[in-house]
Amino acid sequence: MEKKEKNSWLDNPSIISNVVIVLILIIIILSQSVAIKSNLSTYAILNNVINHNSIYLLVLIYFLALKTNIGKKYFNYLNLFLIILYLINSVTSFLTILQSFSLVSLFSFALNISLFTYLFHIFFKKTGVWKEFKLEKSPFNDISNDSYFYIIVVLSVSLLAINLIETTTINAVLLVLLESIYYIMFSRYVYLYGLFLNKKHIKEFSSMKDIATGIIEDVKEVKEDIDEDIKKSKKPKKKKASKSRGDK
Amino acid sequence: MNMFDEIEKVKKDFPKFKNVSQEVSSYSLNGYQRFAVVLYIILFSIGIILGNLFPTCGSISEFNSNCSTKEFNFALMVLVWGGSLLVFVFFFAIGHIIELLKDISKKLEKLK
Repeated sequence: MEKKEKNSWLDNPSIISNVVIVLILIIIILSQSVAIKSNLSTYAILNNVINHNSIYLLVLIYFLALKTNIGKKYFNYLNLFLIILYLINSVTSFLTILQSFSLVSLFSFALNISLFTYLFHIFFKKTGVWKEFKLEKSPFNDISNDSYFYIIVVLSVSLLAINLIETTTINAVLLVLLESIYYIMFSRYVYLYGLFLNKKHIKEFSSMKDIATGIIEDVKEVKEDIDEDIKKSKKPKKKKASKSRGDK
Repeated sequence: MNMFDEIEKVKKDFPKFKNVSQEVSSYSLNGYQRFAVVLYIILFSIGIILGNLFPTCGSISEFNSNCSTKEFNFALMVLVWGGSLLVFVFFFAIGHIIELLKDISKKLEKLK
């Protein structure tokens, strides 16, 4: 019986990227509309809401670029842009801790820094940078792809729990919930890329193994042929030697 | 077909760091270009300072009308960085044009 692999939508990177795009669009539109409804001043909307949505907008550009052929060609460069974005984000979240220390700022910093290390170790793998700077020796490389994913899931869920305690309005609850789903889906996308790289590595290894076993079999056959030839060449010599003894 | 398989077929790898650093080190900067680099570094740090000086309310507190948590102003910083990049490109391009004009004048003098 052949077992058919059941691929759920969670294992499809194309669907995950579409989900992330839709989530970002909902977050941006929802936060803008809620800000307008709650009679915030223009300055407050510009200052708070645009600041809140700027990272989402930049990530949206990344995912939309991936849908084009140019984006696919410059995939590594887009990943570099994403890594730099999350590096800046983790630095700014550290500065947020200095400005107003709270459990939320602490957890968002932990989430951003773990996302940055995750992106750095997955997206640079198998690139020229990885080989040139010998990044396989990095201590963060010892953490597996699954562990990174679950760390981010746990951190985003705990951040959601803390945020839910603080929130009082339904809109804020919805926004916080969407944000945590976005983090999980985004890390799932990175996880799938890490899985793809591992599978590729295993494929390369198995194909090399096949080639090596093929070569060994060929060598064995050649050796058997040579042995047979040697046996054949030795037998007539013995007969000749016995004949010569008989003559004497 | 998997999205990553499609990307793997067409994606371009990074250039070697050694080649890039050699190319950059071989390029000599003139006065305008040095000024552009220094100005960019100054404006880059000003962007970080401004982001810290004008913090915004946290994502949840802004809808509760009480600004309990203050966040670093990421958007302002990116805006200043974008502006500083434009200023940098402007002065750097002027320096490059002056360098090209100098080369042309040298070649014309040789022809005379």
